[in-house]
Amino acid sequence: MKNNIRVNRATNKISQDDLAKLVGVSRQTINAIENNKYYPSLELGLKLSKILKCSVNELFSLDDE
Amino acid sequence: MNNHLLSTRWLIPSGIVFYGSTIIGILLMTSTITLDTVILEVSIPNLFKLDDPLVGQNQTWIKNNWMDEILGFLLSFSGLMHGFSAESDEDEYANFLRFQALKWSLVINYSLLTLISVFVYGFAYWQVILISMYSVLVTFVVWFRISIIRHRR
Repeated sequence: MKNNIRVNRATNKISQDDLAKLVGVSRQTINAIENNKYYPSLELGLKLSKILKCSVNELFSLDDE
Repeated sequence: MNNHLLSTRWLIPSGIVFYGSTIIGILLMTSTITLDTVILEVSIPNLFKLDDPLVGQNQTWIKNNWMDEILGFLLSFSGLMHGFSAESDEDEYANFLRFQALKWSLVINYSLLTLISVFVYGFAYWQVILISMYSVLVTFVVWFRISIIRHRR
């Protein structure tokens, strides 16, 4: 699974630290998600898509897509 | 999401007790120091009355030095509290690391125990079983602590 969080974060001009505070996790967790070390829960995925103003499908996609 | 973890305030006190009792336990196993010098002899009911030549089947009450029981209790109880207390920055990734640590401690300990079951016999095997009772908890707590420290860097 790949994600576009880093790109969407840059588009919205939000730092890792700010995004972490907005969704209620640590900055290191956002970094782990961006680097594909951790796949977030559905709840966190929905929160991220809400903050980054895009759909979950735009944020996360399967490798073969 | 409710993870059913203990409050963060238990993390440091339980950690001090856990690491302290682990160090004492390792010292007792690897050196000639014994807890027999510290006497806390209490009569306790012999509930199961197993055929133990050291205790005696018909004996209802037995006298026992409780120091090793106290150490075992402190190690287990504080280990559980320390391993399952919420971190100051607890989130779902910290919980993921906790269960990864639990998984690997079980895999490593039971893999070793399986090998040892084949190759170790007699009194040495009894000692291995005694160590393995606590090593699952110690491996889990230490593995999780290292993971969380690396994660915070």
